[in-house]
Amino acid sequence: MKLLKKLLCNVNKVCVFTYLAGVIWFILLSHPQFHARCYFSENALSPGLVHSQFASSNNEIARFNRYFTGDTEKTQQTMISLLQSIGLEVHQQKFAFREDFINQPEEFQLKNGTNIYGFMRAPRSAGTESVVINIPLFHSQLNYAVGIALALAKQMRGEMHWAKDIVFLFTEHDSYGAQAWLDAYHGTPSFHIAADPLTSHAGSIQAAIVMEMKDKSFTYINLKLEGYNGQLPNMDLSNLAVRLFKLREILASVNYQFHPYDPSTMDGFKSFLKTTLKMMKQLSTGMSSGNHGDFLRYNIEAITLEGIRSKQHPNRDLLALHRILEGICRSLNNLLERFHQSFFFYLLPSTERYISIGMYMPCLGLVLLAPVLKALSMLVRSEITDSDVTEEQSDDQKESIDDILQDVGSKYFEETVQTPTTQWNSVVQMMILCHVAGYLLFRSPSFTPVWSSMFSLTFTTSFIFLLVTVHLAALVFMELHSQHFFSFTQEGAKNFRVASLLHAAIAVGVISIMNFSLGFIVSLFLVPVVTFIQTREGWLKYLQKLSLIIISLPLIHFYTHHAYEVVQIYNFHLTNRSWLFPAASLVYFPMWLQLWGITCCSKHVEIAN
Amino acid sequence: MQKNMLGLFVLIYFAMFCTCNGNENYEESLKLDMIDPELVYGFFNFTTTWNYEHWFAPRHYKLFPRSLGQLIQKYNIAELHFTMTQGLWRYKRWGFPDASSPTGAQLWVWFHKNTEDVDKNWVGFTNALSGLFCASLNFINKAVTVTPKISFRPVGVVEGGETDNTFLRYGTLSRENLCTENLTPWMKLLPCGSKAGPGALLNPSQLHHSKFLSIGLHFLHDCSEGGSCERRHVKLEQHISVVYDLRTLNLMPNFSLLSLFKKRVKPACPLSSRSVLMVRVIEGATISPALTESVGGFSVLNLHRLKSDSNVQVKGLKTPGVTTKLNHGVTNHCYLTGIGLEGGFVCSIVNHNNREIPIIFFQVVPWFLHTQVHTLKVVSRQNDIISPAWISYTPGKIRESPNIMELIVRLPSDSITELSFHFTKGFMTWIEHPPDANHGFYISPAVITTKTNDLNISKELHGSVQHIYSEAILVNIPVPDFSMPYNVICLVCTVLAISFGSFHNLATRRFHKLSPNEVSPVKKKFLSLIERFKSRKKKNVDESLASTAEKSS
Repeated sequence: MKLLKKLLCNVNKVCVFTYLAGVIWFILLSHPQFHARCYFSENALSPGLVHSQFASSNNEIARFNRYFTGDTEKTQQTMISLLQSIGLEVHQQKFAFREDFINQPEEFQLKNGTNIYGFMRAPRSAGTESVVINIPLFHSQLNYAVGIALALAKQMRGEMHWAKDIVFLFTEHDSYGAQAWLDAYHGTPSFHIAADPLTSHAGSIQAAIVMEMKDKSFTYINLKLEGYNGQLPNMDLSNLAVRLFKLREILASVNYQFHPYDPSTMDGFKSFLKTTLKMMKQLSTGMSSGNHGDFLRYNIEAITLEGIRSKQHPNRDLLALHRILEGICRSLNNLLERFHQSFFFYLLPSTERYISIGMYMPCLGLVLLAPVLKALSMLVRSEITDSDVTEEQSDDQKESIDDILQDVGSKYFEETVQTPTTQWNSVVQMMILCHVAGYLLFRSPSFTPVWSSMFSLTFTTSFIFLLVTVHLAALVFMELHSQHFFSFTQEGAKNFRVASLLHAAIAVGVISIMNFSLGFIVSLFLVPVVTFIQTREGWLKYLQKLSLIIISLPLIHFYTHHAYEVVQIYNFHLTNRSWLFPAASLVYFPMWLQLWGITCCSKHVEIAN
Repeated sequence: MQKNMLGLFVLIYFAMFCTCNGNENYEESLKLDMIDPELVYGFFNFTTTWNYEHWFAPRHYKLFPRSLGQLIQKYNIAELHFTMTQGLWRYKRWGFPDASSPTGAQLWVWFHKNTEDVDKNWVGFTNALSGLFCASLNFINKAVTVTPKISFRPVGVVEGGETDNTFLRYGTLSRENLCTENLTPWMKLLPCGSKAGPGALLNPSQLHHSKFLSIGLHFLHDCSEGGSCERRHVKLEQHISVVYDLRTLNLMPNFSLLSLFKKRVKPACPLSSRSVLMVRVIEGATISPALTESVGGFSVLNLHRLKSDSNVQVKGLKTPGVTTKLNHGVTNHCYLTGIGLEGGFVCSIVNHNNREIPIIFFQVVPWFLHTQVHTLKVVSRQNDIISPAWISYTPGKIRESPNIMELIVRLPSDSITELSFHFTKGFMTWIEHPPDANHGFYISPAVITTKTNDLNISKELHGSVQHIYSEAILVNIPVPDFSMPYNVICLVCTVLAISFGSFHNLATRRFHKLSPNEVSPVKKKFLSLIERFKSRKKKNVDESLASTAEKSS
């Protein structure tokens, strides 16, 4: 009780403290003292335990690659005949897809594509399990991993020890091809892709490796792990790749960041922090960094290996990567069970270290504690002041704050539940209105064609124009509305603030459960504003409004403009891959509008008083 | 002396011959066929027949394996079909096998009609058989066992002429692998083991270097030749089907028995009445030494005439272009759809014939997958809904029996028909999960039964019907987290329980200081007893006093 009393007295200080503690804790997590070295949970993987067969040579990979030119159609024909001569069971799948929902709204312009897939039927099993090796075919140039895959297929076909079917999947149009194939494989059609059904299957897919090679040789391999909506592959899979790279003395990076030479120095710490933040940045966009994201959506553990070439550094030939791929497949072949051990929620400060969910979740908890504490303290304090007035005259014995507190608990309950006052009514109405505005923003893109014809604009411009208009309209409405429709007393304004504080904490908390990076980044800039915005007068009020404008959606998008276009975010939402657009329009925008409402209330409080 | 010895051997040899020429007969054969220029298909067949006046009840065994015969007698078995298979027979590309079998273990048994408790006999027999073959057949429990209505009819003679499928039990274990430990007891049942004839080629380590390997054991009562069933005989057929991939074994232009089996073929088993090796090669290849006899496209080598161990070579195979051997029957490909807790099961059944074919579709779905029968759809690729001619569906009981689905469907000519239904995945308690729970569970293969005369296949064993098996399907159901968090919870709970006990004890006990001159506890107890006794007495006196006082008043 004494503690509570102290807390109530210094709640603002405590809020600042928890927020800072959360942020500092998070930054410290990147220090080698606070995170751990990666380790294998699944012993069945036993990487590098088997010797590679050296059955292929660099020449062979080059020979396979020489068959292909940049022309995709020719490449595909050659591919089919090559795979058949290698002895694989080859099929192809045609698909058509819709890419852009904004610029092609009416006429159903479909792009066509073809996936080629070959099954290397494992001699040791009955086609119940499989591993997919996915090579996306680029349109502008050759993916040199094609040669690696073909050489590997040839080698595997002559080996006895395969216990999982290996599927060589050559997809077109980046993730659309992969999605078309996976949709057909699992019989779950997407509305934007019309894909042929598959003629053959290979059981349940245990893992997938995506390979991207834009050059004939590479300096280092970059691991891409981030899937859609903050999904990550099981850490054992990325560990496996990293371990094999290390074994073959190939440089590996995550988000183009290497493991620092000396982790204990300040430079090492900076490098760790940078890698972590880069990963979080990618995760928070909710977009996948490669084709593996589509596999992850189907609960198939997958990573993308991207070969990077730099002119200043010595290069490795493709055979090195071939051996890595062989090693990964051998390890996956050993798997008795699906990936289920190790971590699914983690952040990587480098290829060899990790921060587990148990370490990073408390930071967010601390940051979100600030608005929760503030809200609770306001609730309790308002009740105390109420009761102070009434009780003090009648009963002199209840002097200490804790006595009152006990009394207040029951009183508050009675008041809110039995007699909902008009104050709470208007709070609820206000919140509903904010959410309706959010829903309008969410639905507004469907009016794009109407606007573009009305104002004779291009589709993209009218789409953005529409979003901004809804924004401004909601703002203006909020300014007017708080004066005309509702009369907030001081009490009501306070309640509204309590409600918005709790709403913000819960919303961000829920987002962070699904996508920690997004939740944490949002909480970083939202929490200070949310906690300290209140009904004020004078220049402070305008400062508040300025701070709100700074964290408004269009400006946030402006800061991260280079990441993804709004149109793209919207398209990815429609193809059911990224939740960023719904999260921004249905959760963030109403929250922000409520805060704006709080700043607007102040004038009215005066009038009411 | 030597001459005498030789004479004795000859005598024994002929004596043995006589016995098997009497009422027992044993035949052995190996058929080597090429599915395509890369795949060699070997089919070993060992058949023992025993003329029997009545039903099988021997007291004395000669060629028939005693260990099996005793089981058949004890459990009152009329017909038995047991196969264990590794790999998947790919009907579409490989055509039809001589003996069809599903992945894993399959066992179906017809009991005699005088069997009192079929289930008890079935359980006993599966356990005994699992002991005989070192296989985990004892896992065929009541949650796996089913009684198909029409898919599995008796192959041999039926007692009394009419079949009553209450005496049929059928079970499959798709997870069961075929190992050397199953192969060895199987080979021991052969009259000559792996000592002579085609059996000498059975080299376990080489057999497992194949794409497909299946052992089978079939026991049935059959009519003797002549059509009339006045005289019957029992028939025990043992098969091995094996498919070698020459590309994987790196035997492309030439291969031989020696390179495939790492053994040479030996002269015939002296107990056999017929022992042959039949080879058929693809066009362009030659067999050496050249085999003169020829039966139905196969070159035949009579092993009775063979003097010593020898090797047969096939030379001059051409590297294939693209070969797609098309099956002219019915093929079935089943797969799983859906993600998460909702799932679907789809079988695409292809009819390669240019006429309508009726089939029986049979599928067992484990109890933990709750099938939704209303979602059952049979649609041809042209989106015509086909209504099944007959449907039988037995819903499963949780932990008791599986869902059983049996339908008769008429497949249109040259068509692809899709049969599909949905299911939801159920939950299992944590002790019900097998080791390696995250591996998943198997749905046993779908069985399609067609009439033999619709297919161009040998009718050697299964009489007039043929079974086509699809692939076994691996399905993941929700698994509790057995790993760290679970351990942590257990550990924490244990520690809490222990510390809570002692803390509770401490917290609820009242402590007080003992005065130094206080009496010892025993004495005190004694004193208190006396005290109580005294007080009771006093009470009684008081009460009696009170009552008298009342009365007086």
